[in-house]
Parts: sequence; C-alpha cells; structure tokens
Amino acid sequence: MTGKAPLVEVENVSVRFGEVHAVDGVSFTVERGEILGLVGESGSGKSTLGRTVVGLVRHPSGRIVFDGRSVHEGSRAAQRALRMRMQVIFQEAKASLSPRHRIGWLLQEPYAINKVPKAGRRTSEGLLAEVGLPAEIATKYPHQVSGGQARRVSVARAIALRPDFLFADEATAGLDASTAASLLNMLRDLVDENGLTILLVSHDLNVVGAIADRIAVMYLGRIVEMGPAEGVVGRPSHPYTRALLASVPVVDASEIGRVVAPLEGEPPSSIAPPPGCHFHPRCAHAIPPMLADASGVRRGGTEAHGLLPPLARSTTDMRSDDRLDEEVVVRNILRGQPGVRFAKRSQEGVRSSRKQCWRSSGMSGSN
Amino acid sequence: MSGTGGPLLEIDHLDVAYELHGRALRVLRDVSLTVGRADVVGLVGESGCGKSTLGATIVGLGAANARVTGGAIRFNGQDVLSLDEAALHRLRGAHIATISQDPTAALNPLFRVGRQMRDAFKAHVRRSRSEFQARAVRAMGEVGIPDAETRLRCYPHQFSGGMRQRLVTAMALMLGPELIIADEPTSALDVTTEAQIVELLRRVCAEHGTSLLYITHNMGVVARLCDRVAVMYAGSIVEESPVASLLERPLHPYSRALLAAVPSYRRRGALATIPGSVPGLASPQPGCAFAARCELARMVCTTRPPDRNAVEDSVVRCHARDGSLDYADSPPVPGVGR
Amino acid sequence: MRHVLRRIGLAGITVLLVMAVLAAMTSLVPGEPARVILGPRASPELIERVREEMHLDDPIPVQIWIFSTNALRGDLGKDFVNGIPVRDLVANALSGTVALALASMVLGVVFGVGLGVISAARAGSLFDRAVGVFSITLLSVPSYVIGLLLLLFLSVAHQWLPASGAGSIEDPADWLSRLAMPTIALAVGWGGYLARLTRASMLDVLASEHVRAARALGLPNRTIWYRYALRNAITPIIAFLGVGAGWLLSGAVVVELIFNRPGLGRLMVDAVGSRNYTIVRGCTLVIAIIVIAANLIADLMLRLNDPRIDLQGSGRS
Repeated sequence: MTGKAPLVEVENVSVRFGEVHAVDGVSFTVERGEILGLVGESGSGKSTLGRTVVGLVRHPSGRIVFDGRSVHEGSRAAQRALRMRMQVIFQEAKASLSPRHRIGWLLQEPYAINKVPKAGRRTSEGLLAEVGLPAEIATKYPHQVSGGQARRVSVARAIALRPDFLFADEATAGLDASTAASLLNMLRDLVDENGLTILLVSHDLNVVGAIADRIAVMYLGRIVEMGPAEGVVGRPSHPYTRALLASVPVVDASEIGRVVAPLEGEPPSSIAPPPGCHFHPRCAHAIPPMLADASGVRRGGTEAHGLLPPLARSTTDMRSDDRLDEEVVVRNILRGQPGVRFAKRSQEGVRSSRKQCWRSSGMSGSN
Repeated sequence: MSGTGGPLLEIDHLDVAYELHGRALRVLRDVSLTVGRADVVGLVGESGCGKSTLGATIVGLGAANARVTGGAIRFNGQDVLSLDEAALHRLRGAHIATISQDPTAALNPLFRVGRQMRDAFKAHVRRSRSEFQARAVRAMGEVGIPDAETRLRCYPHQFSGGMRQRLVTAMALMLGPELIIADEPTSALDVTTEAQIVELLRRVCAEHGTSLLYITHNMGVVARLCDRVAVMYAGSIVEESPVASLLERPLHPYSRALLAAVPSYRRRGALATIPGSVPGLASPQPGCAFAARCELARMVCTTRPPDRNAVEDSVVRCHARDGSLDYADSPPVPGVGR
Repeated sequence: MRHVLRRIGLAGITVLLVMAVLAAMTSLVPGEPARVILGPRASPELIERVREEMHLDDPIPVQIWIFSTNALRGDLGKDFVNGIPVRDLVANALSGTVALALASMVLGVVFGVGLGVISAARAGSLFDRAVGVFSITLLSVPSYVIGLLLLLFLSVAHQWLPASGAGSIEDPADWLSRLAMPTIALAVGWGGYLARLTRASMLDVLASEHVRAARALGLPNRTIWYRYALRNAITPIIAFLGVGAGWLLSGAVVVELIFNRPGLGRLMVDAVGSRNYTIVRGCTLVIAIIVIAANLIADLMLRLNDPRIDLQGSGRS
C-alpha cells in the first residue's frame, strides 16, 4: 500500500441541506485495500459523507478525488465510469432489492444496466458463492430470504461489477450478532483476498473497531479524530472519542456493574452547531477559546477552519492522560494563527493519527 | 395486591402459541423465570426468540392471536393469567410498568405530555390535580428532565429522543410500580444516550427497590446493568445465570457461541459465528432447538428436549450439562454441527 | 401563525385565479364571444347588450380586471334576460344549497364516523362485516337513485314527507321536513365512504405503539378509544372533508333537481339551458369560493388537531 496514492481523497468537503450543516469541512483519505471505519452518532453526518464520496450527494463544496479523478466533475460518461467502480451496500438491503424479480435476475441486473458484454459477466452462482450463499438462492425472491441473506445478496450485487471501492452504510444494523459477525468476516475477506477498499459507516464502535484498519470518528459534521484502529480505540485522544468508547457496551467481564454516563445531554442541532469546537458544550476539557465566537471562529462555512482545532500529527508519543496546559493554548491563540502551522503539519504521513482538539494541538507552545 | 414474601414475579412452565391460519405456532416453550424483589434481570436473545412476547404476555398485552396454552404467571403470588380485564387494567401501570423500544412511538403525538401523564395517573389514583402535579414533577426530576412544570405543557415532538425515553421512564415511575419491564428501551438511541438511560434505570430501580426485567439483544448492556440474565433461544430459556458466571463460563453452547459472536472493539480480527440459522416457528424441532447448530450435539439432543438443570447458581437446558449418561452414551449426529 | 396567514393568502390568490379564468374564458373560445355565449339564434340586440354588459370589446386583461373588481365589490353582473343582479339570484339560491350540503355533511359525519368507530371496535365481528357490506352498497349507489327511491317510498307510497320544494325557514317544521329526504339522499354515499375511512384509520391507530403504551399504563379502554385513538384517527377524515366539500356541492346540484328544490343547482341548470352566461359564471365563482374555503378550514383544523404540522409547514416557528 505504501508508495501508492490513496484510492479516495476527500478535501475540505462540506454538505449543506438547507440550514443543516450535514458535513462541515471534512478532509481524509481512504487507502487502497483498507477498511476505513467511519463512526458517529445519529446526525453526525457519517452517512451523508459516505454518500457524498460515492457521488450520491450532488454539489458538495470541496473536492473528492477517486483514483486521481474528481468524482463530481468531468463529463457524464466519465462520472458514470467512475461510479461503476464505487458501489454501495445500503442498510435496508431488502428494500433495495426489487420484490418482483428473482435474486438470480437481480444479480445480473447491474450488467444489464451498464451493458456489460457477456464475457465480462460473472454467473449468479459465482457471485453467490463469493458471499457465502448457496446457489439455489438465485431462484428465490427477496422476501423469501432472511435479513442476513438479503444483506449478502446486496453485497453480491455490489461486487458484480468488480468495483474497487465499496461504501457499506450501516451494513450490519438490525442483524443478529452471529449474522452480523459472519457478514463482517465476509467484508474482511473481500478486502484481504480481492483487494477491495471499503468505507464502513456505522453507529456501532464495536462493529467498526472489530474490523476496520483505520477509524474516523465524526461529531456534528466533522471528523474529530482519525487514525489506526488500535490507536483510536486503544489510546483515544479526543474527549468525544473517549466518551464514545466509555459508553459503548462491551461483552466482557470488565463491563459488569460498570457505571458509565460520560456525557450529559445530546448532540446539539446541526442547524446551529455551537461555535468553535462543536463538542465544547459537552466537553469536560473545554477552555474559553472554544466557547467564544469572538475569537473569529464562525458558524459553519469554510472560513471557520483557520481557527478550528487544528489537525495535529501522530500523538502516539502523547500519553492520553497528559494534562492540558490551557494557558499555553490560550496564549497561542492570542498570538495569532495557531491553526495554520498545525494544519500544514497534518499533511505529512497519512497513516498517522490526527484529531481535531485544542487540547492535543496546544501541547507545545513554542513549537 | 399485598406482598406475600415470595418472589415478585414467577413464570412457571409457560407455553404460548400464535394461531395462524388454523395452525398453532409455539413461540414460548416451557419458559420458567423468576424475578425477585429489587432484582434486575436481563432477558437476552436474538430477534424472533420470543423475548418480547414473554414481556407482553406478563401484562396480558400479547398479540391478538397469541394464546397461553400452558403454565402460569404469578405476580405477588396472584395468578395473572386468570385476571379479568378490569383487574389487568389495575395491574398495568400501577404495579407493572412497561417501557418500550421506541419512545417516540410510545407517546401520542397529538396530546401534551402533561395530559398523557395525568390520564395515566387518574386511571389508578383518585387524587387531586395538585397531587398529580407534585408527583409528575417529582418523577420528571428523578429521571433528569429539568424544568418539569414547563415541560408538562409541551408536546412529545418538542423533546429530543433521549428526553422522550426519560419521559416514558418518568411515566412508568410515577405510579411507583413494583416491576418495570423494559423492552429494548435503548435500541433506538445513540450509545452515549443509551449509557445515560441505562444509568438512569439502574439508579431509579435501586432507589425505589423496583425490580427490572430488561429485555434486549445487547449482551453488553446486560453485563453493565443486570444481576442475573436469562438467555433465550427459539422460544426457550436455555440458560439462566448470574451475569458474571455467564460472561466467564457460559454453560449452554448457545450462550457461549452468542457471546463469542458479538463484535467488540476489544477483540479485533475474525469474528466467531454460529453455523446455520434459527429454526422457523413452523418447523419445530423434536429435541433441543439449538441441536442443529451445536458443536456438542449428539443423537439424544435431536430427539428429546433437554430439561432444566441447576448447575451451581445457574439453570441450564442442555443434555451435555445434565450429568446423565444419556448424553455420554449417545452417538454423535452425522452431518450436524461440526 | 405565519403559516396560517400564508395559507389564507394562498386561498385568496386561488380565488383571484378562478376569477381570472372565468372572466377570460369567453374570450378564449374562438369566434365572436357574445355569439358563442348566446348561440346562433340570438337577436342582434341581445348580442349587443351582452357585449356591453360583459365588456367583451375590451382586451382580456381589462375584462379580468373589471370582472374581478366588480366581483370583489359583490357585483356579479346582471341576468341577460331579466336584468336582475346575479348576486341576488345567487344569494337566494345559496341558502338552500348550503343548508342541504351542511345538513348532509353533518348527517354523513355522524353516521359514517359512528359506524366506522363501532366496526373498528368490533373488527372481524358479524356487525363489522355487515357494516362493511352496507357502507359499500351505499357508497356505490348514486345519490339520485337513492333520492328517487326515497321519493317513491316516503312521498308517493306513504305521503309521509313532502316531495318537492324547500319551504321557508319561517315554518321550521315544514322546512325541516322538506330538507330531510334530499339530505338523506346526499348523505348516504358520503356517510358510507366516511364509515370505511374511519374504520381503516381507527384500526391503524389502534395498532400503533402509543395505544399499546397507553394500555401498558393501565388506561381504561374508553379513554384510549374515544380520547386518544379517535383524535389520531380523525386526521384523514378532516382532510377528506375539505376535498369532499366539492363532491357534496356537485351532488347537491343533482339532488336539488330531483326534489325540485330552489338552489344553486336549479339556478345553474336553468341558466345553462337559457345560455345565461353571467349566472353560470356567478354560480361557478361562488361554488369555487366555497370549495376553496372548505379546504382552507380543513387545513386549519388539521393544524389545530396536530401540533406537529407547525414544524412541517413553516420550518421553525
């Protein structure tokens, strides 16, 4: 994977639906052959972001580059060719399968739609085998199969065109544990054996944490922390990631009788997100610059990013319990543009962990 | 409904069937479960295992085509199944409260919250308006809804999802029930909100000495909240154990497989799965319902349903755990399990 | 509140549009408008009078302007034949039609909603099935057939009720007895439809989670049914009442003919027969205004009934 350019590059992408800032200036990359887990609570914009990446949301601001080509620019034919290489598995697997056709027909439909020559087509049986389903499923209608099987059928349909990239939107939601587990194993196999790249969007940190190579944590339209999965779940830096990790129930003896309610209240509305760091009203580490609009942080829009909590580089050397030197942070801000320097630094090394939090960015005032 | 000193809720060999096109589909098979006073019991199982049916049957709110075909449910020593409609109405809300999965759907959207609470209050207590106001405000304060008097005049849609679940909890608490049946109360909520509601239920049940039957598919929440846990599979309780012993040494092969299959960020890598699928209601198994997917299955498992066996603090339904020679002598099943 | 004002404004604009269409319609037909209106055998004097009366020589926008401003002042023009102001003709006829339509609406709602609620309460029972067959029958028989049957049975065979005319409100007993049969004739189909609608809507609500939750709180069935569920179930019924007002009025026209009641129906049919265009136009405008008003009222009632509509209508308020 090293040396190659990322498969997907997302640069400063924002999506607004009327007054709702669904996605607010997000940048990240998806490397070839990895599972990138995108986790967040409802309203965090994770699904919208995923949909934007595969071109389902029109006219986002910012830029999305897939394998060197822009997803939202270029001729219709070029965009279409690009989108054939990016497929989606939706949460409502059954709803996305037409009830009037047998599964075998549905599996061949992508070829018919895209006028793929016979030679380039795979048999329904072959596709079903790939997702671990018996061949006789092809003769059934969608309502005759179980939820887990329907989910696998939609994966089979998605991989029919041999895409490079799969966006799985809450692919395991509503499935029983064992069914979800085998679906996740299958996704992992697709990545390991076929070199597929997956953007796995889920509200469940357990799901994302179990199989993703890297994890991005979203809160109110922004990625607040991103890095290798072991780092994000093992040494979370952002206070929100920590709260999320503390909240997630784990099947483990250590969970017995654990009293946790790390966060009060619920995420604020994405119509009028709090100024500064969106998380600050619920954050135990919040300091004045995060609270104030006056320091130049504006609501939404791209200008905000000059003063947004900057993107810091890998923090593996930073102990998660390091005390925050609030004074240094405040001084830094008062001095001028504390964000710029760090934002530049973040361009180095895509594999490093980064996060958006004043706390970790202000570690060294003199740097 | 005075206390008799016995357990608060006793479910005894309960059988429930759905009548469908003239056929009876057994959804609950020989279910026995006891909830003591101030006990917090988890009822875990995958979708369709019958856990919600059990919760609904306890308060007589099962589906229209559900029939109790055997067994008994005793609450405070009184047979719930023999109660007439009026007695059931007095039981529900006042003695056994129910919190359901979707707090948004559980509140009538057209009526102010205060009105809905007052109607519930008036259904059980002949008291003045001011008495209601005091109790409602106290209940809302307990569940962490600030500014209760103003909030009473609001409509449900003016609350956030987490606040609605608090509200439903406040309605359940208001009448001081002895038992709360919570059916997936946090499934529709985000994890940080879920954590808040779980803590809330733990706190209010402890403070009031209320018993809680917590129905869920989420083993992690059970670990966090419950003292004991009953694991359901295909209409039967296959294991009932203290939470710690279930997590550390699950006795039933299904419990073990289920625990291993739950994804966890702490266990990265390939996940364990259970081969096969849950048997449909229409094709009941003569033996143990899990036999076809069980790695310990032998011939006896496919022919005779296992009995309940006490093993230390647990009760388990498994031939492999009953210590008898039937299992030991039984030949392996060809082509089943692994 | 902003939404209410906007909704009222929208209704006003709709009325103005209707006026414009009515005013322009004559001139949009090919040929000499007055001759088109009056037919080939009209006398030149009459044609001349009509041209003047309706300002047919002016450009269309002027015609629209004159008609609309006049109509807003309450002047709907004059009857071609007698020179009586159309306003007076319509005003006389209106009371009878509105009385008939309102009475049928009330009767239909009482019976339809009542039967619907009871059959939902006993869904699947013999009573429910009987009501189902009965209401579909009522629904599928046209009101004039029912009107004729009522006439034959109650007036011709038994002479229990007067067969025709509207009577006068000064003699209430007579007035009511003359209103009874047309009302029933008009109401049954409407009532049958409402019964089906109410039953379906009630069953939907009764299956909902909040009804279950109310049961789980131990609320008495009566409270759940008549206070909670009915109010939820009423939403589609109110919506239907708005749309159905047009249906009722057009039904009233037919029923008025059968029972020989003075009213908008009679007036319009006679006017069409004598090519009295100003009357037709005036009646159409009044009916349009009533239908638009009914929809407006239904909309506002829906808002009153459902606090959530506020959110959808005007974003955040």
